[in-house]
Amino acid sequence: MVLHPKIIRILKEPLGELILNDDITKKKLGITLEMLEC
Amino acid sequence: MLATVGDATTFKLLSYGIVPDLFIVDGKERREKSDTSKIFSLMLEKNRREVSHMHCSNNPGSISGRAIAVIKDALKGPFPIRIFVCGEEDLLALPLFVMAPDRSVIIYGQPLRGMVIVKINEDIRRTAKNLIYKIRKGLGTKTL
Repeated sequence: MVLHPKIIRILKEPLGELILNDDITKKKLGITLEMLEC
Repeated sequence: MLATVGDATTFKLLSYGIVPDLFIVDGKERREKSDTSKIFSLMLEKNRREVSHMHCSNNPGSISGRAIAVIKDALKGPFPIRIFVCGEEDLLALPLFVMAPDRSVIIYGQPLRGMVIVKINEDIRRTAKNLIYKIRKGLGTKTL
């Protein structure tokens, strides 16, 4: 079974806040999670 | 509650000493088999956390009823819980969006781009429900 291109297009768009690979650090992730009260 | 979907995303958080309450993995990274089980065990040991394990099967490009049931059960805790998916876990973030309590944070990987952080609210729940409906009814699929 292959997903319909329309669904694939939707799923390719981030459904939340995207942190780019180059920007992912422990500090950045920690701050983001803290801001989200997680 | 903090949950992750995907081996690479979970691996990244564990490497930072952050143990998700719930993590869903399938032992593959970008569809390539990776022996992450041992690495996860070592990292959890390092973080001094004991993890419960659950498993289910889920075919690529689908969301199985069994996977939904297992996620629902896992959300009752006690955490942390690891769900190992035989098949593919990519789409299982969607039922997690629907069933996770308000204000939960779900992190999943966006291949070659980064990681996506989603805080659960009614909007994301509605979007996920709509996508699940289309995928499960076959409206979002095509046969080769």
